[in-house]
Amino acid sequence: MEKHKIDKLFENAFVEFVSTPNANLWERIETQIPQSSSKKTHKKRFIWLLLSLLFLAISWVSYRYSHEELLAGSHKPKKAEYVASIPTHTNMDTQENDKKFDVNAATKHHLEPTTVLEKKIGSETPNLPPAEEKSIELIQKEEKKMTEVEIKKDSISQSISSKPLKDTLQKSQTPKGTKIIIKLSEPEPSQEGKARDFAATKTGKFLRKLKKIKNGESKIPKLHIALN
Amino acid sequence: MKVKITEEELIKRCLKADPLAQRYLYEKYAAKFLGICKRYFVNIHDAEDVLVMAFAKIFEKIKHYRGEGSFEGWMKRLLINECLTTLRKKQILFVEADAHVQLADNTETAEQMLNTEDLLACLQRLPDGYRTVFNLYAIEGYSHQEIANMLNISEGTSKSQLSRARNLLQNYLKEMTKEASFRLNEVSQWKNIK
Repeated sequence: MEKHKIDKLFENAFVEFVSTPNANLWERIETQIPQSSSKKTHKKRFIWLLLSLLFLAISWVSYRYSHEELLAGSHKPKKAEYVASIPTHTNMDTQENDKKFDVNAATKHHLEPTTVLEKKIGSETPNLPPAEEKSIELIQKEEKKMTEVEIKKDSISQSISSKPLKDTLQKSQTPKGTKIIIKLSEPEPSQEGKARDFAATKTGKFLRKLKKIKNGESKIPKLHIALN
Repeated sequence: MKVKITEEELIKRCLKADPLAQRYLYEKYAAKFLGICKRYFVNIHDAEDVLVMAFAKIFEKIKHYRGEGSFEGWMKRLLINECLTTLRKKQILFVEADAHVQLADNTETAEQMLNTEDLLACLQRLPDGYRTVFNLYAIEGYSHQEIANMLNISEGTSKSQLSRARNLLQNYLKEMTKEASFRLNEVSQWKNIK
């Protein structure tokens, strides 16, 4: 079927018809375009990365915390350690031995459990063993609560300006130069130390009682069991 | 520096929502598509609004393009559908008219004397219903059955609308040609006086 002349006229006229759009038209289109999928995926990736990092951080912190707890737990004195040290004193008859081996004194100065154990294992021998003596020496050394640190004046930089440090410094004139004595105060006993003190006092009392029983100064306490 | 890009590459990049490709596609077809919109709407703002919506739909539905037929044709269909949807919202009336009216044949003189802008002016003078049917049948090449389905009217209505549109256009062309010939005479007389 042939096309109408008017139809042809208009068709030919509008085949290549163009009209320049407004400059801001693209901006309007941009606002209407649905958010690009790539942007969405980038956002998703970022969120996942953030979440995984957070998870890693949390797991690391929890691991560290539990690990530290475990480590701290391994240093805590076990009952067995103290128990092991108890029977050694049954061999000590004299007051001297009692003086030499004072568990309280040892524990007061926060000896490491291993040191205490060494000492006690050594004390299991019939005569006073050298190990025990050594440990007492250690205790005596530790009794020196103050540590003197000698620092030559020349080596000290003038930059020591913090007030608390200045207060603790005592200057004394010597022919060679000035000596600065830094007094370090004893650290407060930790929970661990306190626990050890408590255990040690208990064992000390028990040992003294045992000696008294052996010497005949006191009688063996009767065990009363009440049955309902 | 201008970079040439094939249509396939352009489609692929638009599928990935590449903003540069989208802009490139817009720059390539915006003027042509605005020309189409202007044939359907008298008001330029309406035409621009439809163009904006059509491009947004093109970028949204580009994933549905299966490569059957030309990409430009697919985009054109989307654009025309958008035009029709907007016209439907405006509730254009399709009035039944006498189908067979004899028209005076003055198309050849009109073709010689009028340019595209004049023809566009004639087209825009038509009522919305006439103009839509004329655009779809005469310029886009749809059949009366297709037009009837697209506009939800009967085939008879489509035919009568077209006939009426042609009749009116003939009158407008006559007027335009007269005006144009009058202007030409004036110019030639002015030249003779000089």
